Amino acid sequence: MKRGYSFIILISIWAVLTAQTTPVSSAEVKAAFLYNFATFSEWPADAFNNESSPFVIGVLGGNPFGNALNDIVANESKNGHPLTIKYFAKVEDVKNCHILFMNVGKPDIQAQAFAMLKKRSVLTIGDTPDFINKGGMVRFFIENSKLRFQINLDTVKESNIVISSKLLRLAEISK
Amino acid sequence: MSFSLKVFFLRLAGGERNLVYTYCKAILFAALYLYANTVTSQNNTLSANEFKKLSLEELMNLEVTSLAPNFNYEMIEACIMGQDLLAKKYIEFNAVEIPRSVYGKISIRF
Repeated sequence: MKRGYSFIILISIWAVLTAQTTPVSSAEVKAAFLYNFATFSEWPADAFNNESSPFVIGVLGGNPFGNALNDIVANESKNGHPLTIKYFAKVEDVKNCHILFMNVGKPDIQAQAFAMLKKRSVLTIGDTPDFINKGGMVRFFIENSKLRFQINLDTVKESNIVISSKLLRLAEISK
Repeated sequence: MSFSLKVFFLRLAGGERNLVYTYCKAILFAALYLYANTVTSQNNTLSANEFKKLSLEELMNLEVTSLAPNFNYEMIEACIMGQDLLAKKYIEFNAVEIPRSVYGKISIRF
């Protein structure tokens, strides 16, 4: 009987160890990172209209996150600023936001957005291959099925945004 | 069944008479294994709250699918409308990932 019990325990341990990990959608992980960028970065005081004005995470182009970003950000705030999501169809619509995820592939639209946001405290995030080279600040990419990110420190400094060392030490830094 | 396997099962069963009982136990254990595996696999689906609680390191260790929406809205619209996409156009949009919303709906012509 003892042998039977030990066999059950062994089988259970084996089952747990060999259980296949279900990959999660990269969009969900990117949404979680947007939340973490909001949490682990600091914006200058003049980036907010007042002490309770919202902290806006904007998405330019189509919404690639489904409900993931809304669900993650729901009921969260940063230093008294409630986190809010805004979706922008066109570059001209981007008015007041603190993080902008640019779901834009066309180089001319990207260039238009970067020109418009220059010297403004907006953390631009994207995932197109040339996003950093064109003037973006943070770029997501996938390496060995894991999400990684690249940060352009020069453009971040120009915007007066301070990214925490917690994020910087995990990032691939490009200048 | 090979001789060595038969000897193994006989030893495990504690004799010829208990062999059927041992087979039953093996089936029970296999079922238990499949059940435990299913339960642990399901636990890997994360809710929004669980995502928030993950550390940065844990987020970076998650295995992600590449079937995620990544690119141009116009391209997604074109795919939803059932238009064929030329590979050239696809490359032009830097579409390195296949958007989930259009997966299975798009055909790429080379």
